[in-house]
Amino acid sequence: MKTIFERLHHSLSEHRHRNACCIKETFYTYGQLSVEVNKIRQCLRKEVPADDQYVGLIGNDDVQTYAAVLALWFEGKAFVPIRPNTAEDRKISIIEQIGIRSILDSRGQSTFGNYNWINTANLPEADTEFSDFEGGLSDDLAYILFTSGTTGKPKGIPVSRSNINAFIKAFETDNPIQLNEEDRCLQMFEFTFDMSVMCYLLSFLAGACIYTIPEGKIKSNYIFELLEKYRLTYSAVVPSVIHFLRKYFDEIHCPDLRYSILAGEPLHESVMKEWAVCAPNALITNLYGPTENTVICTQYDYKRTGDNKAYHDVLPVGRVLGDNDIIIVDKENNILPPHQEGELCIAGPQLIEGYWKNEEKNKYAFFDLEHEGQIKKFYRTGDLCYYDEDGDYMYIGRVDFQVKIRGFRVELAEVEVHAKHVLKGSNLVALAYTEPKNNVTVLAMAIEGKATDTAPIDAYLQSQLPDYMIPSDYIFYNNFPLSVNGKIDRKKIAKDLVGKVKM
Amino acid sequence: MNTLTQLKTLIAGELKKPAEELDENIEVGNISGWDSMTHIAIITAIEEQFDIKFKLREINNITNIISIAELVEKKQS
Repeated sequence: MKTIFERLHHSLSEHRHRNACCIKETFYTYGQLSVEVNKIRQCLRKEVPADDQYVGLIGNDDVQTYAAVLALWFEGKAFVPIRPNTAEDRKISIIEQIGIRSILDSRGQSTFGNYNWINTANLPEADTEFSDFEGGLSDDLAYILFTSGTTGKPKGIPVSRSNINAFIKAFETDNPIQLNEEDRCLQMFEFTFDMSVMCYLLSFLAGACIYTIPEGKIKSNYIFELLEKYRLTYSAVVPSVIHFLRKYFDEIHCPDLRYSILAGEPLHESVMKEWAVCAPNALITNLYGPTENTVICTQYDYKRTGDNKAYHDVLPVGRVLGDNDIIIVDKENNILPPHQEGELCIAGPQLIEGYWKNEEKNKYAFFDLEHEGQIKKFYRTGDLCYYDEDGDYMYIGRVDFQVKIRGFRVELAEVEVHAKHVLKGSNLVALAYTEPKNNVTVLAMAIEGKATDTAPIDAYLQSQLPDYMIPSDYIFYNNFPLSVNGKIDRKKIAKDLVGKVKM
Repeated sequence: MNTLTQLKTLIAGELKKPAEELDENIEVGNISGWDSMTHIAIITAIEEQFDIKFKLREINNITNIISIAELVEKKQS
């Protein structure tokens, strides 16, 4: 079987006359993409030492940046994506942790420090078309992503060539999602978020075309414009995007959409029921996976008949894809049977070796355990789940969202589902924060919308829940703060709650 | 106070900067501080203050602050 690198190389020449990308309303064919790949490969051979394995890549929205990803892989190197508008200190922190010496930037001039900056938009034509390329699998890395570390420096997640190959293999096996060269695919993610890898890889492998969001455009709005204008057939977004569009669902009609993928956050059945009307012909799918296990490892296909499993309105993360080995364990790492809640842990070919030079974190996040007659290395996701007899995994919340209030275990999702009932579908989150003065854990609720009297909410919750599950603090936002990846930023909300002047 | 002035005051408040710094002629995505998050907040604030509701299509056609003012006036009439 061909590796994804061999297939990518083949796809570029086979689809030479087809469109590969639509960026800022301009189309680029696979042929044009190949020209850029070749230029960058020539430059890498001339200007980057062979032992420079890890190359920085400024994640700009242009054809050169996509070409750089492919060029680096074909040269057997890994890319380390850096957001263009990140603060210089964070850029330097990433660069220095990895020991990066060369950085590719299609905007050229943003030079700082004593690095080998290469402007990929200004390279000479390649003398030859390279026919040789690195197509093999190994533990050599394909990319290193960084999670936004809240304390101290960001953590590096090194993903190998065989990890990414195993992900694609798992995703393509027995999956109703099968792209072909006629597909038009949304690619809204930044290079620093691994959902982007999925979008451009699936598309390039199939000979399909990706459509990106130009800078200066408002993402959630522009997605709708792309969907409509270019009749996109594939979209992958975080659920927050759909939440934002919900107000306008009556204006949205996307009959061309074949696949509507959601990932990155809990997905609510009630919202999907409405979204299904906007995308009447789409297979709606919930995908799940931590970056440490290479993009995606479970999938749940939403059923239009309404016969969905859900836990407090949250749809399952679904069945296990490919050779991923998923178990649910208790606090002592005992493997739990169906229907018992515990932490979801993963072993298998998509799992990274460990965090970049971070023994302390590795000791905590990875452990060896015998499963199915073999000692395997498992990764703790921090996600609280259970599975049923069909093999579907249900997402309950983060292990650390399962909070203790006055000694009682409180499931935040449960508070949320009741509050949603009384607030008629408002976007809201329950969360706990530590009140610094008395160092007590306070249950709070953040609501998106106009500040209202909370007494009726309390009254309803009191009729449904024990008193320790009633929020003792409320905060209102016109719009929820979102993280860079577009997810609701619970940490920011908790911070706002702590900082809020009590009336 | 005309619509444009009112809008600039309101937007300036959302972006936490003086109204004089706002250029009504440049594309909103190029105004510093105007991103996905503040955009949603600004739209909601305008809808509330002028008691109107935008359509998604109308929001997508917004280019600069002048175009918002025209849109608001059209919706009010």
